Amino acid sequence: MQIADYSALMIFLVLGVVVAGAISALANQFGPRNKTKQKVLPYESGSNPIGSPQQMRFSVKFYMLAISFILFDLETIFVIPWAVAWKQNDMLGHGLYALGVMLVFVTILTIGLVYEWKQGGLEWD
Amino acid sequence: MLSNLLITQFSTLALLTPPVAAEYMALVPGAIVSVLALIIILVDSFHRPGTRRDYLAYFSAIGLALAGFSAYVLWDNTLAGPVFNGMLYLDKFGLFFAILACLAGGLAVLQAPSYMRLVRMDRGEYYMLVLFSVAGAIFMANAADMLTLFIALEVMSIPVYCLAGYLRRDGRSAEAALKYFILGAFSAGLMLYGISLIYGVTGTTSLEFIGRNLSIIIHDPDPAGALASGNLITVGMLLIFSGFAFKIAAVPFHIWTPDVYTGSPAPAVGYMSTAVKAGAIAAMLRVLLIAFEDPVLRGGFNGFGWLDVVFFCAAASMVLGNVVAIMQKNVKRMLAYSSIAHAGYLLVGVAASSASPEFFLHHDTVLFYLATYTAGTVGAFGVLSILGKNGRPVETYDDLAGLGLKYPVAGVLMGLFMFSSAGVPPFGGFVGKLYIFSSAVQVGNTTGEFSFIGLALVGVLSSVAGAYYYLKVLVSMYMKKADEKADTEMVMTSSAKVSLFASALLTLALGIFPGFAIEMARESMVDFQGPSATTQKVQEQGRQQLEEMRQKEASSRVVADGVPQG
Repeated sequence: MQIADYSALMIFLVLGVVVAGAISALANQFGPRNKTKQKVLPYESGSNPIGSPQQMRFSVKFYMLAISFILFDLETIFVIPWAVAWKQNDMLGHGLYALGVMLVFVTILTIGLVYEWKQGGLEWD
Repeated sequence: MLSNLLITQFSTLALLTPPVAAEYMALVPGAIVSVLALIIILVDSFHRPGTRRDYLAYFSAIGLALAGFSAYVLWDNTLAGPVFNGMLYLDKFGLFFAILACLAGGLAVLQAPSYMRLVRMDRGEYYMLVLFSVAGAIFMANAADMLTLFIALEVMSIPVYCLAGYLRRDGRSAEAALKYFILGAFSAGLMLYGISLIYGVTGTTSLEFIGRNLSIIIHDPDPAGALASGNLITVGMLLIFSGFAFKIAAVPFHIWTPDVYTGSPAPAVGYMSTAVKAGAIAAMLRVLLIAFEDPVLRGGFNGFGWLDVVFFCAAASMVLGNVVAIMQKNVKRMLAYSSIAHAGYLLVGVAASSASPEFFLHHDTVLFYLATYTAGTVGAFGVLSILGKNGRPVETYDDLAGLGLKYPVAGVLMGLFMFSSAGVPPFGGFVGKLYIFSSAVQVGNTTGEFSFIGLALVGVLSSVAGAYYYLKVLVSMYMKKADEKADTEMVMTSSAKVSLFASALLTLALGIFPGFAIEMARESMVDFQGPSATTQKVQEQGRQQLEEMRQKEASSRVVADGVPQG
């Protein structure tokens, strides 16, 4: 591998920095400013990031939400590469096999979802 | 560059090709258990509130029996070499442990309904957690690759952490779960670090290739090359061994055991002290006997190696476990220390049989001992999980006072399990101990290395000390006066009856007719896949001996009972 092989990546990186910087700078320059407390706070998924942690209690229900999120977020990590490689799989003549393997995986996750649902993990109250 | 690319392309193609149908046989026992666990989740989700969940116990037990039976059917259809691109073995060794794990799991789920009535916490999670853990133990025993091994280890352990914290309202249960989880995660992390070091040295995670590459590296004629990776190999080996030693609760990795066993629900402790130990021992034997098989790594007669580490752990576990168990007031805590001692006996078997390749087949002592230990220990925890006092399960010696006369069935069964664990003749525990210690003495005699005889002596003496605390249980059950004011109860559900009588029957059967189980254990070691050519010769001899024995039996039709000549 030569360093030149990575030129596309370098161009992409530079372009990314330039575009992101340009958007931020333009918004800063020309956008309307209407500062409220909520707007200038750093984003922390909806909870107040300033102050002592003891005073900022949040509901334990977020925990359930986070667990489910991780579960189904991880699912996509497995499903997307599988979908991308599907064409090659099909060309090699075992597309059905690949489909079956993924079906097993999704079924197991679905059973987990059913369990969570019936246990009341999806209800807020 | 081109060849590298080609190799990558080629191996990707190999990985993309679906496995052939025969390879799926390796999955069958584990897959049955996993699917069963998923079905239990679904069934429990639609469980009608307010009704009992006893049917889940029967359902799980029947499924586990089916999985065990499938392993038995596969017994004569094993495959040479690993399947699924070198991920799993299908050999008798793995199947033996699959049967053992299904047995421990099945007995433990059947005890649950009684216990759940005692603690008033009837939840379906217990059953699925046990089942997932059994699946992990099965795959762990069949692992042919460090990655499969580690994932199976986690699949086996994480449900057990949850089981430890099953009694949510009990602070000690939560403490047990937290301690077990944090220490377990830490030890798994260290083990993974060891695996990564070995991978760094050898460039592969497959056990067989690790074994081959390590031999090449160690016997490198250039001393600088061998020395440079020598330390890495040592550290990696020690870290991997410590991970297994933690799981089997061997000294000095035993600190978690008493607290976890005391806080966890009794039937779950019965499971976690047998099946988890069995899975870890199986994986340990696979790693030590395939990946670290080289005589230099083995040590013993050729210098310092893992054999010496196993030797030390065995002696320390036996002495510490038995001595500290004497001091306990809580029966569960006593059984925790005794399980440390049992880990020591198992390691005596491992150390003695690993002394040199010619004793390879002696590892069947370890397998047989695990079978007797499983029957006795699950049974003992079963008795603890049906007896209650003042609305909670019994725990201390005082709780048990007088219960032997009040509930004769529980008393007799407890006596049977305690005698077996102590190693009193007609029961399984005696034959197991005899088999292990006689193997150690034989190895010592043959090699002239008297430390093995010394190890057997330490084992015998410390198990004599062990008889004291096992019999103390019976003393308090039969000879102490019952507390009149206390409100004692025995919740003997029909499933608990099945479980307790099955363990009792097994304990007796393994003691009186051990031939069948010993032959199975011997066959497992003969069929053990993956060791080097020297060991394979020993296995071949063992196979011929087995054949001759069978022919003799067929011709004379005299079934020889008792201990066969090792």
